[in-house]
Amino acid sequence: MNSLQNRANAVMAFSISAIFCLLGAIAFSALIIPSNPSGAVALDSLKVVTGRYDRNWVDYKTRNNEFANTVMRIDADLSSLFHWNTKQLFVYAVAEYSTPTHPKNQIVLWDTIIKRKSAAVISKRGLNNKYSLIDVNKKWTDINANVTLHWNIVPYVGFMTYGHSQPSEGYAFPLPSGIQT
Amino acid sequence: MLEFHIDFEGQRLAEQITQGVISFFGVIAFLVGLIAQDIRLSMYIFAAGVVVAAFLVIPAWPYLRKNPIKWLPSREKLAAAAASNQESSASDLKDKKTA
Repeated sequence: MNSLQNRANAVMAFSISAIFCLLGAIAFSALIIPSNPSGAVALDSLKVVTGRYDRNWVDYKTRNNEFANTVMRIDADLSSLFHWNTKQLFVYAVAEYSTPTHPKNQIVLWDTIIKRKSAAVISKRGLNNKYSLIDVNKKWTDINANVTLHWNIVPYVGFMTYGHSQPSEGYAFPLPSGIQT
Repeated sequence: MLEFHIDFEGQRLAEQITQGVISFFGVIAFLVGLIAQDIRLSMYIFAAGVVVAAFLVIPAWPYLRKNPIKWLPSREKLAAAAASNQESSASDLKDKKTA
């Protein structure tokens, strides 16, 4: 602390240590702040059509692969997840089902990013799935799926945390009823 | 050049002020941010603490130079002083002899 440069160095070095402690305290405080998020997804309609996968898929030549098209209804109040360490929320609807060959399958149907507390109350109707609902077995016959709303809290500093709503009732996939255009 | 030295007591004080001010502002930043639920406010308060500490400590303020070190005189000076002492005492003797 003798010379000017020495004192400047000491102040900066100590402030780095101190801000690291401050950020650590912020990161851990975010884990114990209580929240009561709620959310639900339901399918208003579930249809299966046949079509051709795009050319990134192995068997893009066949035209009888089954795509499921949904119309979703999403209601959620995630505003309590916005605390001082929440940068944004990643919210996504997931369909989960099991098949004889693959016991656990999860497919993201729709997602969104919420950046403000005022936008954290979601009420959406008539949503189509953003991402193709296709199974590795290419057929949807005799499969039941439920849908769940998941969310992921992206913090400014610290830990990413995850949560999800209660799974919906199971929906049975109908037989193919058309051709994907 | 441009070193702006401070004394030992000043260095001890400067270190204590640095740690005290920055820690204090850090705790206040955390509490205010937690209550206001605003991480930006928290960061601004902490930054203010760093600026205050830098302002208090980095320039060589007079309060950091209150206890200057009392150096012993250099050897040349000592020798010169001793020589002049001898001379004066010798001349004293001379004066005494002549007297």
